Amino acid sequence: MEIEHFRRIRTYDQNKLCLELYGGTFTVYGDQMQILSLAAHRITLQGRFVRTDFTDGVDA
Amino acid sequence: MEVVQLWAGVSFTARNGNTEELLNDAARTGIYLSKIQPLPGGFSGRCAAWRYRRLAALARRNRVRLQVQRRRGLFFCLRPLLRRTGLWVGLALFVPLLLWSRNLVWAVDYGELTAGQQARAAAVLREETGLEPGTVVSQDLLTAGEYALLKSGEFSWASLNFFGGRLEVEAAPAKQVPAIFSGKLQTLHAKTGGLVTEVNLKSGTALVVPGQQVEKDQPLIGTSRTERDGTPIFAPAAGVVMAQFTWDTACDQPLADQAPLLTGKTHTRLRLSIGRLHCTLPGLDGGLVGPTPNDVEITRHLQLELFGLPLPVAVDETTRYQRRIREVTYSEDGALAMARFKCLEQLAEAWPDAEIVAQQETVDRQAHSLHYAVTYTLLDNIVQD
Repeated sequence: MEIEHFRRIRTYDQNKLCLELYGGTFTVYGDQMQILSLAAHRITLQGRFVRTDFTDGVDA
Repeated sequence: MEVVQLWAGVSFTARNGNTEELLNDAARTGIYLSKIQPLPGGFSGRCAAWRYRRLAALARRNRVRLQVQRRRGLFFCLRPLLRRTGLWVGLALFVPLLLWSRNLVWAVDYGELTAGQQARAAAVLREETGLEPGTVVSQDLLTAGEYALLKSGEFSWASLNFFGGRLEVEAAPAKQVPAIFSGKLQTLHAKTGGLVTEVNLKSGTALVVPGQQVEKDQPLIGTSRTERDGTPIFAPAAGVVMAQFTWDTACDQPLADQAPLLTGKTHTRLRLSIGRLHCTLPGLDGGLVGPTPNDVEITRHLQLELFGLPLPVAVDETTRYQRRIREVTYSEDGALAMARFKCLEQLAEAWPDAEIVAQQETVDRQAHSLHYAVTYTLLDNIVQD
């Protein structure tokens, strides 16, 4: 999975990656998730993805 | 695998502290991370070795403990070598040495010359001018080499070109000079009597015809003839008159004779040549002590090569074979063969170009010698020079 235009990583472990976007929060849930590459505005994720959540608005 | 990891890459672990913020800082500052795997309390990943210092600074700011797990790539394989002074000194010496050695002959290309011509050309260049693998080349030396090749008589044209350690020898083998016609102003006579088989007239008047029997000193080709109206015409005499004739010779071959024979004792001298430097190596003693008048000396030139590349090292091996005058006892067959050989030598001296049509041998065996007489029937040009 490739995700672009994220602002920052909030949390990362092998079951969850939570990214803060410019208009909300995007969370990927899965198993054995590994970041293949991390650049300024692009993240490439590998693993078994279970579900994704998008929350409008940025929580502190 | 990324190309960076092949050259210089680092695998690291990041634990404790705010590891997510470290990832964000790395992404923000352009430090490219890869293979990021979550670990209890942090993550592991890879980055280029030259980015690691910057990453470590970011880690300190985020109170993350960064630890190098493994260094990867060619750079880290070579790094121990780069710290060795001897290699740098060797490199510093090697480059000027390599540039200087471009003036030495490293390879010789003889083009389309045959193996024999190559060997003779190499010997001429070596002995006359000292031009051989390992020699420092100058334009004068090349010119001298060209003259030496021409002077040897084997080549009618020669050119030596040298570039980047490679000596190119181009030469055209000399062809036999075409015979320049020169007739004689006198009548040509027969060297010996015989039966004329062929008349090949170049100039003058043929005085014999094929099938005619001629005697010694008989005129064969004349210089003048008379036209029908009686006008004398002069033309120089030249041509070939082939005739079949007989020629006798005999030889007495003793059954026991004194001849120089090899004793098996030798003495070898070795001379090592490196460019223009020569040094004599200890000789190989084969039991021969002092020189005697009948000894035979043979010199062999050995050019050392490495995978076909001539090294600037050559060895001249001069071997002296001892010969002593001793009595040789021939069997009858051996004595006959020796007698035949001696008669053929006499024939080659008297009639070098003659073709043997037939031969009749007479062998008389005596107590201590063998008398051999032979009559050759020959075919040759009988015109006197």
